[in-house]
Amino acid sequence: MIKKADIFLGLGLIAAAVLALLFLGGGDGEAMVTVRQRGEIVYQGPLAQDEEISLAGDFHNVIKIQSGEVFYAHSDCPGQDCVKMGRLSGPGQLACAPNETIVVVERRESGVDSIAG
Amino acid sequence: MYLAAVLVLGLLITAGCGPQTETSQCFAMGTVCSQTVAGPEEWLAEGEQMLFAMDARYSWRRTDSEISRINAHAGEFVEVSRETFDLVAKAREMAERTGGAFDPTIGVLSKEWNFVEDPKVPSAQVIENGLAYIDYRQIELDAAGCRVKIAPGQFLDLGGIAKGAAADALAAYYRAQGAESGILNLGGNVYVLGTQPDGTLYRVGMRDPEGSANDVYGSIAVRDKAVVVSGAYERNFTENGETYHHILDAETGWPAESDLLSACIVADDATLADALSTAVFVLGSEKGMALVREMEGVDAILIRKDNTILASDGFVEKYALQLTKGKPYTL
Repeated sequence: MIKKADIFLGLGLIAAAVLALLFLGGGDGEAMVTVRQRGEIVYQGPLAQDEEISLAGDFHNVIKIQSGEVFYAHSDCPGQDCVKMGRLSGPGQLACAPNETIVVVERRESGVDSIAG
Repeated sequence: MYLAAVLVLGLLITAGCGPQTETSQCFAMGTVCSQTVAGPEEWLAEGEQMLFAMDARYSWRRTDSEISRINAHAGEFVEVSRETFDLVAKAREMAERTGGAFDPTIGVLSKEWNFVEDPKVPSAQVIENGLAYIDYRQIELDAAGCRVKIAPGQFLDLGGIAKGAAADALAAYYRAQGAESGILNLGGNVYVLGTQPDGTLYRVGMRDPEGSANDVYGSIAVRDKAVVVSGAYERNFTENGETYHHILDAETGWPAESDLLSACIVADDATLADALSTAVFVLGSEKGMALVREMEGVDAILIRKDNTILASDGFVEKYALQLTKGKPYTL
């Protein structure tokens, strides 16, 4: 016989499990963009939210989040490797070594643990 | 109901347990160095310091590095640290083993092309003159005195081997601390330490040479291995409509023109893998794979310009190769 208390306990446990999955990172949550410069986080937000991030330093980077993609839209660094890295629409990273900036997109999903190349 | 409660609580507890995995990202050796290790934060902090110290020793771009001292005193013996001596010795050995396809004395021309800071096509005369100084056999080593000498006019560039050496040094350090789990990625040079904390193998993706930086053409499951890929896609620039990539052919002084789009080496020794991936890329699929077959415990997977993939014997099974769907490359 199911009592009212059991239903409350059940609902409570489900809520706890959902919260735990969210906080412990077990879910397939939305993709998040983190931008760091010299190790410090300078921007964090969802990949789904359009944004333009301008970063001064030894060089000047403009990072754009647009229509679910993030990319280096402009950089005045000499090699331009960051601009040539293309766009990220899922987990991965882009970086501008001369300006010490890095863009990381994270979302827990199956795939590779690291990329060689 | 109470059984369910116990089960859910059990899940909550186990989800939060297991060895603590720490990650760090820093800029060293002209690239992004990412480290993930199951262990305390202090290990990674020490790992970062090691990277900065190696950068300071090995970079020819830093005027105060040990390599710059050797370059500035070409023609004389220069005393260096044991680490620098060992790396120059290893670079010379790899040059010998690859018949000069990897050659650390390429520096005389890499500084002219200057792919990192101010890329430009040197004049044919500059390239011609530079070629005369590219010869690893003129590197003299005095092991007892920890001294290195290059010939007058020569210039060392350890860019094709230093990241591998850094990965080996970091892996040795983490192992000595007791780490059983970790993955290091030094600008695309990956080293896998042990297995993931839950015992499953790490899976390393190989970058698609014709895709963006996060596009992989396939992946492999490895343990205690270095996975290093050389390709024409990185550090390239376009001048007068022509694209030039950063892997120079020591024979011609120009960016290597082989039949390969990318060369991936899998080996226990990251230093060897780093130098070898450059050499194989320069040599092309036939000579490159022949060289790989000569070396024990070394595997390779190459992508040719005709989109065919060439893998060393048993590669597919040994590393559970998975090719990404929708890519044009075929085995």
